[in-house]
Amino acid sequence: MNAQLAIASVLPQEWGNLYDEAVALKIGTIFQELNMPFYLAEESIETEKMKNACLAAGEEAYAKKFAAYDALLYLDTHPKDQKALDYYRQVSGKEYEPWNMEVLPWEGGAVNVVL
Amino acid sequence: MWCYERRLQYPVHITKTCPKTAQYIISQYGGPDGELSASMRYLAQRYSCDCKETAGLLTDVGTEELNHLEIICSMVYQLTKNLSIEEAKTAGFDAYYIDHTTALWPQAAGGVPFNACEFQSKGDMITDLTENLAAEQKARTTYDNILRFVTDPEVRDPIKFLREREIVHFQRFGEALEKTKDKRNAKNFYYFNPEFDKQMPRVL
Repeated sequence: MNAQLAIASVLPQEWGNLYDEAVALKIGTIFQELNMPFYLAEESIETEKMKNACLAAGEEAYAKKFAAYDALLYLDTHPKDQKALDYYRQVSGKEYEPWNMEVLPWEGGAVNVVL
Repeated sequence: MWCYERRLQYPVHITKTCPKTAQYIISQYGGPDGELSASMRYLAQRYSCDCKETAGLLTDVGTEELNHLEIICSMVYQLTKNLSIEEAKTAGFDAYYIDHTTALWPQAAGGVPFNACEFQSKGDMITDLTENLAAEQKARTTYDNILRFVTDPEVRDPIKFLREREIVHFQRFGEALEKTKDKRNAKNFYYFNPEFDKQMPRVL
């Protein structure tokens, strides 16, 4: 049961249906089901153009970092989703660090401080 | 703490000077539903947040909003950097030019300066997350309105990217709100405020 009286409800997303990294950067998300363009963005023309988008030289790094960040926000609300954890590791080259750390930074805590 | 990466989150390459477009877009820097408000809203709300995962989400979305602020400022800068004095006089950028030349300064499209009253940090996670859901929608509508006006694809591309991010952030804040509900009494979410009433049992 997701909807209750007197409070807003949003259906939690499930992992799946991803764009490849170059397309995701042009669209603004890795998640196909969250791509909800404005009608005046001339979807049929502009989105087709985007799908065939070749990234300019040097933009691959933008695409990879962006895909990792979109996955990071997903993991913030789904920290135990194995497929998302695997994807994040693959695109970022590191492990997701969950926020259930013992002491948060603004309470004096720290993670992975390396001098 | 933050470290600076020497790149934008989404590349901006605008070749055509257009002070009128700059005047619209600057609203997403310093306007009521702009990226400065967004970043400060989320980065302020996280300290007293009673759920570590949600505090983390607020940190990571707030950090992304700083990237968006930089994208908007880069767009305004590129739209006006080669401005001639004649363009400054006639193209709707005149009053801004008098006060700031072509520097960046946070204001709304209508000239109203940035004001922290445009966002809330209320100290109750249901209240704050509901504000954040609305804030993402208000920013999306602003980007819709910009897309109604602007035809230059070099401007539209980054605006479409930023608009889509509002939809993704809405989804994440919605998921955080669902998590907040799970931690409260399902018969009455409003019986107490766990951010302040720390002695009350989380689930009755």
